[in-house]
Amino acid sequence: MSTRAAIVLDESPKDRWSRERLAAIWPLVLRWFVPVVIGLMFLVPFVNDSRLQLQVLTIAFLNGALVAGLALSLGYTGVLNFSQGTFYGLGAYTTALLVTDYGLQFWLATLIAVAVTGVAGWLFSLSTGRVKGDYFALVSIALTIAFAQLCANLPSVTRGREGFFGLPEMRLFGLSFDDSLATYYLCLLMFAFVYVLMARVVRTFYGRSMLTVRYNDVAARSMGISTFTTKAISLTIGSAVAGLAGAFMVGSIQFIRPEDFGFNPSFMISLYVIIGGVGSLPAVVIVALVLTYLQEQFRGLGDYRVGVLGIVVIFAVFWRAGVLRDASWRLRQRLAGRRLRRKDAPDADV
Amino acid sequence: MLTCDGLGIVFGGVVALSNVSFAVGPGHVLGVIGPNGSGKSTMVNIITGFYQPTTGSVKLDNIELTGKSPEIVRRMGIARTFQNLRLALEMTTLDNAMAGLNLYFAGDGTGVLRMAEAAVGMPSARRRAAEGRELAMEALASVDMAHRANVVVGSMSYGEQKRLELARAMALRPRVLFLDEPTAGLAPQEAQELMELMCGLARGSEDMTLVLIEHRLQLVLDVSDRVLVLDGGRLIADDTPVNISNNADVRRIYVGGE
Repeated sequence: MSTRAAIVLDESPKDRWSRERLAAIWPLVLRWFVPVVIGLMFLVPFVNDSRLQLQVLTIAFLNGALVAGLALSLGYTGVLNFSQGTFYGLGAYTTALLVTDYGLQFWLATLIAVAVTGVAGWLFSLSTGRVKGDYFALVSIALTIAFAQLCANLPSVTRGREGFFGLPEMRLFGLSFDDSLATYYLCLLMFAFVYVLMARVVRTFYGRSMLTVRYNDVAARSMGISTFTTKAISLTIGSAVAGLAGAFMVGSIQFIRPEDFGFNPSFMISLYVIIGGVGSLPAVVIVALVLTYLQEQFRGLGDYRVGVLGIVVIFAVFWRAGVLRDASWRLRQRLAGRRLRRKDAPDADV
Repeated sequence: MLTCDGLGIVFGGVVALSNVSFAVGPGHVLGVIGPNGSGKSTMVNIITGFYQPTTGSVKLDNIELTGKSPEIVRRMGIARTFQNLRLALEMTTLDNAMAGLNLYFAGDGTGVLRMAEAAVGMPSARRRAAEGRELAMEALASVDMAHRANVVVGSMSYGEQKRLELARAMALRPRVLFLDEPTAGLAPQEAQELMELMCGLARGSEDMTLVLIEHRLQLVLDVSDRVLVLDGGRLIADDTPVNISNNADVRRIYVGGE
């Protein structure tokens, strides 16, 4: 603490001015950065409309929506939820089943999938009444593993390990998911909708309640905030969003297998939230977009990608804990000290 | 009027509080003193719903509060602070104070509909948000923290954080406010100032009861209208500050010996 206070005391007027400028501008940046990125994404197909590029970005949008939903529970409310991939899968399987076996229109199947995952998320949240903290993480991991196993071993409903493929043509707003450009725009619209909705939710008083629950649930209860309800709502909304993303995943990828919704993919989604940080929706969404894009772009690297991601996680955690800042400060201090000593050596009385 | 009747609690065979009864009305400052482990905080935790009493009952204006959850107790108008600070350190001062207004924003139900209204941007929700901000700023101004509204809490001094916690608990104008060791960790000068601030606030409003749980005997005797003395989980005195300072039992506990 004392070292940081020293920095502020030594601050020149110019530094102070720029720090205050930054403090004034920062909220605006946080608020508008992602909307601007989304706006730019609408222009991408005019610059580069290669099929591969569009597909990679489409997957990034799906992940962006998933992460925006998960940010409510894992990021804001602090529920250790690693099950976002499961609700994504539940939405995808529900949609695929309704579209193929029941011949429903895509929009109707999507609505039903959102309702199903929302209810499932709410049921899942009931366990937060009894299971807290790390134990809830174990429950959510168990749920994720169980769901993937269930999908793989229930062939009469889920088509078993082969999964769904050869789905009928799906259309929304008159656009067909068989066209990669149309798919790109549909998924981008879905992502934009989810982001705006989540950004508005966290800006309401409920966003503050969620953060308060995260920091201290005893204090939250003493202010009349029901920790149980807050957790339930954040999980329900997040799951419903995952269901929506799952439906669009069926439309855009048109091929779903149980391993797409196992523990590893689900954990990856949680990782984006952890790297992006607590209580910052824009940051987690940007992290998800960038890392998904890079991972898809560098598929050629194979499993090395996981190693690189591991290094990214370590740096993100160090950065959040202030380790990097302290290290760089100490380094600068040391360099400055050396210069100082050389110059002032004769008079130095330290 | 807050009425406690025969409150008692047993933790696995240890009697932490037994047969504590008292009543306190609005506009009063009630001091609660006693050595470590005498049951002061246990009593607050029972009244605010964090512990379920083994015996006895708590009533606010004849409404039964015994066994209600902390959320419900807060809804009934009983607020509290904690011995150790429990603020959201990465949020701003204003956001912390507004978190204390949760019940104002959420209304009577779970607040889900109100949240949906706010997310969609309905005019009523906008108005409520603006009014809530005003209330929070008033609460901050009352503890002289309005100029720190947009500062991140983690970067403020301990004394300022204490004042913020007070503002957060007071933001919704509770009918009874429990302050658990509000001056712990403060320098004597700061403690004195905070104490005067709090009692000024309590006496300024006609309908609020302030209950001070304190360690520093003299501070409590200076500001309270009435003082309860707890020792070993029992209520050993309930009297005016003058009588308490002359009470032989209290002297024995605080000074030791005769």
